[in-house]
Amino acid sequence: MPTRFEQHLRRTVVPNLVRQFGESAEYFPCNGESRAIEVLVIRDPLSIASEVGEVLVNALVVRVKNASDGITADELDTGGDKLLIALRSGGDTSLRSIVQLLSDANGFLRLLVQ
Amino acid sequence: MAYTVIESIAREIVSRLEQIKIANGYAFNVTSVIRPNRNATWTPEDRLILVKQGDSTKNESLSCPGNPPAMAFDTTFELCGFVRTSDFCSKEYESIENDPVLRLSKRSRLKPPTPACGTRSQVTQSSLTL
Repeated sequence: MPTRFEQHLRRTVVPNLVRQFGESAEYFPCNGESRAIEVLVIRDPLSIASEVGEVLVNALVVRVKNASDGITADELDTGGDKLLIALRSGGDTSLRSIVQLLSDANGFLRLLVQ
Repeated sequence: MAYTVIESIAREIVSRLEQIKIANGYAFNVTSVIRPNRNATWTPEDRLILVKQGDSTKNESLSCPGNPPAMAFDTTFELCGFVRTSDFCSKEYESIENDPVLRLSKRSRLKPPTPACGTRSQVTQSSLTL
């Protein structure tokens, strides 16, 4: 059960943050039709893919509304969902895998995209 | 274009792994086989295979002097197969992994190539990470 603070944040802060800092991306669920969503993106430098040793991988931390106009927590499938997003701001978009749900709080899903 | 022996071996490994398809008698289709590049443009996907090339070390027992001398090297290629199951999948993780492991091992076993230009290389497969 969300706290009143979380509910307030979800209703008022999240839509404003997305409006101010969001950018367009396209969400490709592994089972279903793609759709355009707004996301907040932190573009980290290249990182090491720890599962496979010393191999570089691009990592983006993406915040998206935990709602039907974003991605709902129960539809997210980190086993195959993808995001069409630019590795560099303003650059060409490419299809990247959503590999992990980092956190789910206050109306935002925080996702690791590689 | 002529490739070095080690590059030819790497390309052969990639080529053979790319042939893992249902149409060729395998239980699944490999999504893609990639070798990492500088910009790290790859993205983890289910049934993707990453081919990593390790260091080459000289194999003294297979090398021999002469004109030209035969120089043998051991190079390790590590095949990292990605299994990314659905969040809603209840099947045991190991049982999903086990099947592709067998097929990757079979497919990637290479015989040492014939000597070329006085150089011999030997490929050993060190590990399989899934």
